[in-house]
Amino acid sequence: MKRIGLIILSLSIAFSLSAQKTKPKGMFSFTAESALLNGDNHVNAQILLIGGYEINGFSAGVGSGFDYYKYRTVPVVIDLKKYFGKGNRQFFAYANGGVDIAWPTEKQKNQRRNVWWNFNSNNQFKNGYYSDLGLGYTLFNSKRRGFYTALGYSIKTLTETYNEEIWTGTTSVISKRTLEYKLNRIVLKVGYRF
Amino acid sequence: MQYKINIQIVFFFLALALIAGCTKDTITESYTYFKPVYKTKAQVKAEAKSGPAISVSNPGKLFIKGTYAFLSELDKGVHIIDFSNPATPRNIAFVNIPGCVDLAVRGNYLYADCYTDLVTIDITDPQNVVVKQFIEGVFPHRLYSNGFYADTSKIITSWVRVDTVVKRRMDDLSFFINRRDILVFANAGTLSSQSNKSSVTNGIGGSMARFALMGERLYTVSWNDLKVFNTSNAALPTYIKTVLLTQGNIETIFPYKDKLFLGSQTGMFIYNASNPDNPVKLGQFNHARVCDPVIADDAHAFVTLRSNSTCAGFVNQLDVLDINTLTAPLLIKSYPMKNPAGLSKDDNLLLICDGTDGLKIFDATNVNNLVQIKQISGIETYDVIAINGLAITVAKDGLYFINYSNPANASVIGKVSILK
Repeated sequence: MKRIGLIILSLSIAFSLSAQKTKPKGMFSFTAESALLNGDNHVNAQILLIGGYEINGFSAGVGSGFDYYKYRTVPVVIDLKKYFGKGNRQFFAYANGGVDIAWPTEKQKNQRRNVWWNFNSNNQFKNGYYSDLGLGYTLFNSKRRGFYTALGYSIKTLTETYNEEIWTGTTSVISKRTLEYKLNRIVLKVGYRF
Repeated sequence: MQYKINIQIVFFFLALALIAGCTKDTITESYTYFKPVYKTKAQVKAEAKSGPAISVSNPGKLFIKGTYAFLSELDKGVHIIDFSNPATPRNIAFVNIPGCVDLAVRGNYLYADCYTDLVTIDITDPQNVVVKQFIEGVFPHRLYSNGFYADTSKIITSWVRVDTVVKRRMDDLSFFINRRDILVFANAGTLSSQSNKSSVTNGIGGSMARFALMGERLYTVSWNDLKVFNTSNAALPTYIKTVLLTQGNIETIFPYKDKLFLGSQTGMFIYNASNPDNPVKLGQFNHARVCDPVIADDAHAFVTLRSNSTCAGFVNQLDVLDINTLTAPLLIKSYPMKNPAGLSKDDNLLLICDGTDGLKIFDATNVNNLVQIKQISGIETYDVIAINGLAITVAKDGLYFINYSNPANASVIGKVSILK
């Protein structure tokens, strides 16, 4: 987490310094992204909607969407991009970071519930953090609208707690189990900027 | 098109390489497991002795003899409580019996399970009890969950709770399966004693009991068997035989006259013990899978069906059965309940422990129309023995003494608290 924070901070400083060198000329944008998340024996998808502002090769925005990798979550992120070079075909680097809101499906919520007996495991999920770093390439038109693609690395975390019943031969003991998930994925995304 | 590779791109590639080395999902897991504390059988036997009274903390089965209540402290022993004055019951002694769950009292002798053994203890002087006999290996080894294997050459006398944190790969399913040496959750009453012709009298057990005295016999039930012991020499009972109960799931036993009523998770079974050494099955009544204590009188059996984590099920009710034909008990009527457990009958009064609803007292004169006379609320009840206007009730927070001489005005008159 510290490492990712440092990287995002470094990128922000670098982008800010870069922005100061040129004459400001900004534009608002709205972006829809879909991503393929490829991780640990699991592949799933994510969609994000981001509203932002681009100025002088640097854009910043806020977005949210759905992430279905292993557990359904809702990332709410700050999105930073730095575009390199000139023209509408550009490489860019991006960094997303924010909160990962746990929104498990009914199946995920009940996965610890023992079906044989009527024991309430009282599953609960807590939010975690979301981060995503990567490089991309734009296929914008002259108005800087259009498709782009990117490849990155993303981490999302969330915590699950539930009660479990242990039979000691004469009595049942209820104890709590806590699972802190750290899910790491390669992200291949395609976006369209309106 | 030519792009300038600047310092940001180089920096970014380095950063990406730094953190993208792995896509293994990890779990940092905090959980509890229990580590067994073993003792040798000789050590356990040596520990069966009397001691000063201790607080009740984890009560089990209840047995009444005279004005003494014998309450098992699960796995630890038996509390002896003098309720000669029910308003001020006194916890007078504790008999240390490792592994004790069930008990019965005949004359001045306490019978209790000590893990796989039946121990007989002379309780003439509660402060100085004397172990008379161990009958070894008459009860089955305990069942544990989740793949735990006990070392059966020794005895588990306690468990040490261990809270731990481990970090593992999310898909590592072998994590728990490799631990067989610890216990861990893997994702894996009414009057039971009968009039008998001997001078030694039997005590009274609750409806949740697995031990029952009938005349000079002690009957005990395990998961799938019924054992018979001869207690004509109360100090030195002898093992007679084991009757296999193929239906399994046996939970409780209730003796009435020369019949044994067995409660199981799937039904009630009636055994004829007119030949006390050789009980024979007469009939059965099947029901949905739930916990199921049972009591009976001449014409009726009363079965409480309770769902919980141990027995599963979704039914909570009282079933009243016609047992005039013992080979074919018939359901007369079901009464909805909250979460009923132990029950007891005194003449036409039926007392039912109904979980968090407390103790309910019914007029059972007409079994087709049980009328609730009184409800003692505010206590979470588990088992009850009703005797001569006094209901001795095991509840979550104490052993209650409830005077029901006037059932409509029944009230708590004394209590021995449970300290957690």
